[in-house]
Amino acid sequence: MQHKPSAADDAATPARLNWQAASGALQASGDWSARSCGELAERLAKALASIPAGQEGVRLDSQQITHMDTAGALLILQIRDALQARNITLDLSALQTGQTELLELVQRIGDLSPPAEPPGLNPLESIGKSALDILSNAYDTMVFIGEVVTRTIPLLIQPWRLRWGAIINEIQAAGTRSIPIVALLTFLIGVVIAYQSGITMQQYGATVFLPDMIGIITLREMAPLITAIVVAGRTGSSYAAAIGTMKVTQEVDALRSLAISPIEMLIIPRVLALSIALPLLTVMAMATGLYGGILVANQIFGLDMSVALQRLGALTHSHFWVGMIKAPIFALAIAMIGCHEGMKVRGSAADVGRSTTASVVQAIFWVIVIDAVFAVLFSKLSL
Amino acid sequence: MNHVTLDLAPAQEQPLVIEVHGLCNRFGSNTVHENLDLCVSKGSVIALVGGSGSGKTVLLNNLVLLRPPTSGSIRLLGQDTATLSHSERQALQLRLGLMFQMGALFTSLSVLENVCLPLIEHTELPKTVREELAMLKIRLAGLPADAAHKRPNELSGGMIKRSALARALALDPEILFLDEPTSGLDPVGARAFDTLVNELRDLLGITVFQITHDLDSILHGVDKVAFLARKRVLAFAPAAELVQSKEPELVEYFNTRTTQE
Repeated sequence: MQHKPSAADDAATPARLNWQAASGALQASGDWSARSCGELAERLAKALASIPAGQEGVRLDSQQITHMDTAGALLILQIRDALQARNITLDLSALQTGQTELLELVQRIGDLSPPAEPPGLNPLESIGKSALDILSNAYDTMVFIGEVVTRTIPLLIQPWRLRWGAIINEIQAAGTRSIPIVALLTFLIGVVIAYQSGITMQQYGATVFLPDMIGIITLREMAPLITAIVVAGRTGSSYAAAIGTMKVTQEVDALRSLAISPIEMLIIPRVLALSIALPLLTVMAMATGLYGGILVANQIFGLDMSVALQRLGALTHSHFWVGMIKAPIFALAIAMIGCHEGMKVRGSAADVGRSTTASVVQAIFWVIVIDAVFAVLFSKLSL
Repeated sequence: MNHVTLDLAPAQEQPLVIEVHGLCNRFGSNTVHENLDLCVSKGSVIALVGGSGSGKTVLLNNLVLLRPPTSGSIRLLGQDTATLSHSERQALQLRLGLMFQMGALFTSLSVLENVCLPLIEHTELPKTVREELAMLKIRLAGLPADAAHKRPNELSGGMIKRSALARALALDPEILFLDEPTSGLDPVGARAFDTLVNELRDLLGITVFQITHDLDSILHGVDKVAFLARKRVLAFAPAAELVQSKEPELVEYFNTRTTQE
C-alpha cells in the first residue's frame, strides 16, 4: 500500500471511478489530488450514471487511491451528495484513517459554497456615482493645484530652501536623457514638412519661400508640440508610476508621518525641473527641426544655403517667442497631471497602471487643448 | 504532540524532504552562509530562528527556488534542485507552498480569486469545485466566509496573513514555507495559527518550515528549531534542548527573550 506522495507523482495516473456491479462497490483508483482529479470532477455525473437506480447502498473502495488531498476528499463528498440525491447511500467505512480524517476536515468546515458577491449598483445609482466622482475629481484637482501653488510660492521667494539636488536629478532624467529622441523626431518631422510642402511650392516656383514656411511651422507649432508630447509620454508617465508605487508601498504615508510634505519632497522638484527642462528641450527641438527642413530645401529643392539662412533670419522674432512661451505652460500641465495621477493611486498595483495610462492620455490632451487656446489667443492679438 | 500520519507507522523513520549540504550564499564580499547543513524529515514542523541579518530569508528563498545559492546542494522531496529542467522545476514548485511575510496577495484580485489562481493555472477542476476548494482553504485558514470577496486593501493585517496561508495551501503542498506567519497577529490568533499549522501537518502530512520570532511558537508550536548563527545552522533540536544549551548565541537569544515575557 503506497500512499506516500513521491517524485513519481508528476506523472501520476489521473483519478478514476469504476462501478463494480458484482460487488456493489464503487472502486476509486489513481491520484486523487488537485492536479489529477480535474478530469474526473468534470464528468462526475457521467461516471456515476452507470450505477443502477435500484441500488440502495454503495460501498466506496478506496484501496487503490495512491494519494489523496483535500480536492480528492471534496470530490468524494460530492459523490456522496450526488448519490444521496438519487436515494443511494455511499458507504465510506472502507476508507483508511488518513482519508477519513481528510473527509472530516472538509466536512467540519460545513458549507463551502462561496458567498454571493455583494450586489453592484443599479443603473441610476451608477449614474449618480459617476456624476459625484466627476465632481469630487474636479474638486481634488483644484485642491491639488492650490496646494502645489501655495507651497511653491514661498519656496520661490526663498529659493535656497528648494531641493536643488532633487531638481537637478529630475532635469537630468527628464531633460538630458530626452535629448536624443526629441532631436531625432523633430529632425525627421522637419524633413517631412519641408519635403511635402516643397513639392507643391516647386510647381509655383516658390521654393525660395520654403525656409519661411519651415521656420514658422517649426518655431510656432511643431517643435513645442512634439517636444511636449514626447515628454508627456516619457516623463509624465514616469512621474505617475513612481509616485503611484510610492503610494502603494506607503512611502508617501511614511513621509507624512515624518512631517515631510510629499508635495515639497516629491512634486515641487518635479514640476520645477520639468518647467526648466522642457523649454530647453524646445529650443533644441527648434534647432534640429529647422536643420532638417533647411537640409531638404538645400539638397532636394536646390535652394542655396546662404539664401535659405537669410530668409530664416528675416523672420520676425515673435515666431520664436510664440513657441517658447508655450513650453513652460506645457511643462506645468504635464508635470502636474503626472504627479496628481500618481497621488490618486489607492493601494493596488492595477491602480498604478491605470494612473500611468491616464497621466499620458490627459497630458497629451491638455497639451493640445492649451496649444489650441494659444493659437486663438495669438490670432486675436495678431502675433 | 500526537503524530498521526496517513499510512506509515510512527516508529518508522520518516524520509527526508529537505536536505541541504554545504550551502554557501555570498553577496559581493559579504558571506551570509558558509557550509550550511540542514535536514528536515517529512511531517515535522520546523522553526528557523536567528538574529536579524543571519540570513533566514535568504535561506528560505534558496529553499523555495526563488534564488539559487552561490554553491552547495539542496535536495527537496528527493530531487536535486540544481539539475532540474524547467518543467521539473515547475512541477516541484507546485509541491511547495510559500506564504510571504507581507502576504504578497494580488491586489487586483479578491481573496477568493487569489486562492483560486493556482487552481485555475495548474488544475483542470471545474469552476464550482475550484471555488469550493478555495473556500475550504479560506475557512481552514480561519477566515470568515464573507471575507472571500474582499480585496486585499480592505483586509486587516491578520486577515492578509490568513489569506496568504489559504493561497499557499491552495494546491495542498507537501512542504509549506511560512515567513513570519504569526508576526502581526494577536496572541490568541497566533496560538490558533500554530494549532492550525499542526493540525494541517497531522491531517495532510505536510512538512512545515517557518521563519519565526514568536517565542510561544518556538517553544510550543514546533517540533524542532533550527538556529542560524555563525553563517550556519548552529543548532537543530527541540526548543526544550536549545534553552538548556550553553552556546553563547543561544543563551543570549533565549535569555533576553524569556526575561521579556
